Amino acid sequence: MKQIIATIMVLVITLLVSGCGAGPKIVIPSYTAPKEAAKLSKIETRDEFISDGAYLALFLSPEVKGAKETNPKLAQMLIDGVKAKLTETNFITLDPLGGEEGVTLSMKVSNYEYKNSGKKVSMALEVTFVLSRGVDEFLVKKYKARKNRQSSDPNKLPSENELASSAVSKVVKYFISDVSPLKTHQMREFKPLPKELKHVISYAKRKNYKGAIKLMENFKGEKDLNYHYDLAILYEAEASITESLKLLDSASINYEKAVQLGGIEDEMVMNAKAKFDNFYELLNKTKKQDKANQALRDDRDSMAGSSDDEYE
Amino acid sequence: MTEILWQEALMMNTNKINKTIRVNMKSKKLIINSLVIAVATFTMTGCSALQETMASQMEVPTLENQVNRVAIGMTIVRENNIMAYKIPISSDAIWPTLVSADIDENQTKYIDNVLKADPYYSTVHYTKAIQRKMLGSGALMSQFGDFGTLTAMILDQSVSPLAYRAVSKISIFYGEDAKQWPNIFSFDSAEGSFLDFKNATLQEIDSPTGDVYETLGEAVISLAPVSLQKDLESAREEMLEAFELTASLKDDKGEYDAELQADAANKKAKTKQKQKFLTNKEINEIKNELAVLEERIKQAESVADEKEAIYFELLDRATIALESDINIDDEAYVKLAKNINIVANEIDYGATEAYAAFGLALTNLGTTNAVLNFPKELVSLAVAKARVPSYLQSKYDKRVERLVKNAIYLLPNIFVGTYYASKQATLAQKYDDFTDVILEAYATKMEQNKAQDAAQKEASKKKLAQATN
Repeated sequence: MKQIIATIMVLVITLLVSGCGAGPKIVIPSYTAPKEAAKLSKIETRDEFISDGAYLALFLSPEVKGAKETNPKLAQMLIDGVKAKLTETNFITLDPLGGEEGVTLSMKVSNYEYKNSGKKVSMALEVTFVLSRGVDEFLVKKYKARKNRQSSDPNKLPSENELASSAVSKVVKYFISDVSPLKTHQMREFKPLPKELKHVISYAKRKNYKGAIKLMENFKGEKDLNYHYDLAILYEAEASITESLKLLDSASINYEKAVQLGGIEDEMVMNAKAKFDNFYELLNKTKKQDKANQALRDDRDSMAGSSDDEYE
Repeated sequence: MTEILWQEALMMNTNKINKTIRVNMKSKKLIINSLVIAVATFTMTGCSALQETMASQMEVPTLENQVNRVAIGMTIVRENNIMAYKIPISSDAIWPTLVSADIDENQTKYIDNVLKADPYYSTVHYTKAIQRKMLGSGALMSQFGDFGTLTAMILDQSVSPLAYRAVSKISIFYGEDAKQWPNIFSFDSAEGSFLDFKNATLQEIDSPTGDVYETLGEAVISLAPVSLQKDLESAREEMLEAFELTASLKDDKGEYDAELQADAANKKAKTKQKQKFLTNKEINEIKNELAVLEERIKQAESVADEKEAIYFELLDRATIALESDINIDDEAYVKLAKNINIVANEIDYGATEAYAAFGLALTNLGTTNAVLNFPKELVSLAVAKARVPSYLQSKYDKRVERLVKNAIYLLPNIFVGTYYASKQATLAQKYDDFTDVILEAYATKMEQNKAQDAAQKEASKKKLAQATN
């Protein structure tokens, strides 16, 4: 009996005295991976007169079927929403001219329902997104959004267009996240560093990753697992802001060193590395694709310029 | 009427509950149980459950106190069910903040006032002194020897700390008008509709700026990475369908149980009025139905457990996926996560309070001999009746009637309640872990922004000072 009581007391004291020693954390920008990655090859276009590599581009059909009959502003909301999301990363660029060889994105409002009963307003929206090349519709996806608001004071409730705009944002985000990376956030946790490097975390907390990297690179002491892991995080953080592939490579080298120094047995290191590897691949792909897409944008700009000259 | 009820109580309750208690309870086990409850209460919750533990050791050791404690435990479990499955939630709903807030003096007075209309709370002051004299004081008060009774009278609370919290939540869910509230002391059966209050309508929530989600689960799924939302939705739907089937089977079983118990009570009461009793054939038919139902309930529960495990597995996956896709730039998203997190914590906290209520009731039943003393308790109530003013006599009769009825379901309700509280705690912990990812990232982002702003201001100041010099 005494033993049981003693065990319980020890348990309580342990629970009270100990805390979970989590290290300092930072939030860094990142990318989500497109869910329909397998379909991306279908969007790729090769045009030897424009670029050596394949570019990803969409011609946005100005006609949104079913929009006029429901809400006249809906078509523009959808078009603007798609443009805003695509230009977040420019992984897929917008082709203002399109053409028989290019890919077209068409949208159709399959369902639109707005209800206002005074104290409650609701909206149901369903949009079909169709990606096609010529007559080949190779990706057809339907997305729904439902918005419900209620208040005892009807004046506080949003208008129909405000609700529609919010519903449009949701369905557009769903679709674009299928075919393109989107910006998001991730967290990283630091490991303890020697006291000579105590200011590194303060720099990182102020988002001064460049300064923190400088402090780390000037360190002359033992460069162990913790050192390389924390340095990798700092390079990753700076790379995620500047979208610099060079910094991303430095992050990758330091993650590898941390893994070699025993990080393979460390859950925190491997979790962070797994997330980084995804980001590394995505940013590399996105930047390369953006560069390839730039050729198309330059081509379209020059076409627009030459036609202006001709006009003049 | 009251006389008949006492007879029933003496015959039915004492025998029925005594058997279970005698077999199951050993003194050593009880001491360890009490210790475990106290330790769990101390480590897992704040004050209310701990206060309840203390209060239970000061009160008069009656079966009625344990019955009421179980009613409060059931109320907490039902309120948890409302928060998890019934009341809509949004980023700007204020009920999560209200249910988690401390109860202030005004609310305490309001609750005291409302409870004055209840048969127990309106008459307990007239019976307590007599019952203390006839039945003694709680374990803690007995330590004070001769001063125990006096100390107990000073410190003893009629409305327990858990009861204040439970009633406060009722007023948030059903509005301030107590006439619209469900009867929290209604023990119609042990299993049938255990999780739902009857005859009461939840208040509408105010949510002009945030999307309204019909349930907490729908709100949680809306925060998950898009690629997982469809799987989560269908897994949750399948789980709820399985729960619904189990509940409906339990409802059927509850009705058959109630029919048998009512028949047994009618037969034992031996009233002069002509009543139609069940024949042996009818009783056997019902018993056969019950046996089939029990088997079906077992199967349905096993399917529901499996569906629940699938949903939880997907939630775990969503939590991991969320770590790579935290949408903290959207204020409404973060606010919704905050509200869900508050509710998840409140459900978890409530589940611990319910454990405390059920655990204390069970422990006190054994340590205080409340069951063995039930005949004596009824005598004490009969003696005290003379002290109750005439305008409260009908309420007093209702109090005794309720005690007799609820005592029948005391033990089953403790076990069923503990089962549901444990389920609720698991669900709440999953939702808590999930939303913690968002809230921690948001807090870190805000902290970083603040530090960055401060560093920039500091740098500007230095620049200005240098330029001035």
